[in-house]
Amino acid sequence: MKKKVLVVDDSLLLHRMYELALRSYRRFVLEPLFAVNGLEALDRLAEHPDTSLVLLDVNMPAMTGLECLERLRAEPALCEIPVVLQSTEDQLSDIQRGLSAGARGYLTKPFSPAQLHQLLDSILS
Amino acid sequence: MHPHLLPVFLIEAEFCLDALDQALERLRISTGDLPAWQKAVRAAHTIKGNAAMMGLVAITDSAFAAELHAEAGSVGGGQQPANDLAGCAAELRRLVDLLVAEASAARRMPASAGVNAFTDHS
Repeated sequence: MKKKVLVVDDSLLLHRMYELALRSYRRFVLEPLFAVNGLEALDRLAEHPDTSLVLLDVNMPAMTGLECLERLRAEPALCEIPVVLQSTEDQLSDIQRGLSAGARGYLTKPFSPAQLHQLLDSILS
Repeated sequence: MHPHLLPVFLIEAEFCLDALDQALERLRISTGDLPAWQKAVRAAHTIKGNAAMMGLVAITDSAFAAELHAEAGSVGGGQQPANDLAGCAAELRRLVDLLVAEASAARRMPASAGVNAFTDHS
């Protein structure tokens, strides 16, 4: 059975990179879903409440990753979905806030497919 | 660098550089234009993250500098951050144009063995 992974990032390049990396993951068959900001992510999750993981960029327009995370954690139907934050190195304070708000981990850009797969191993297993 | 990813990077970089130019145009009229500074921060941040993922160090560094100048401008306005931002935008444009030229030259050559880590799963 496919596991759904929601990628939330305003960069289309990142969407493409995640798609390549998620489709090459061998332990489970993954179905990538995409959103370009936090608001759209909430809509996607309402459509797909069986999502197994959210990969959430911190710095996005319309609704930031941290705002989205707080909204997710306040929503009973969605609050158990694991969230992994991703950001650049200069936003580590945001990552700390995110981990305090319930994120399960984080990826610092740039990251490799191997790093992403390692993280998927630890969360999806 | 993976051939499928570079065109996506270049399209998005072009879009962001246009956004930077539009922001700078507005800042030439008024350095107190907060939405223009914010637009510049957004564009520089996207270029920075994308370039970092592609391993393009010079573009990452220039975009980071642009982002810092735009953030400084969004807090206090002023002509100096606008000048600094314009300098970074010009350098980013030069680097992206160089990449476009290199990509065009590479297309005229036999396929290279170079593969981006994002698709090299061997």
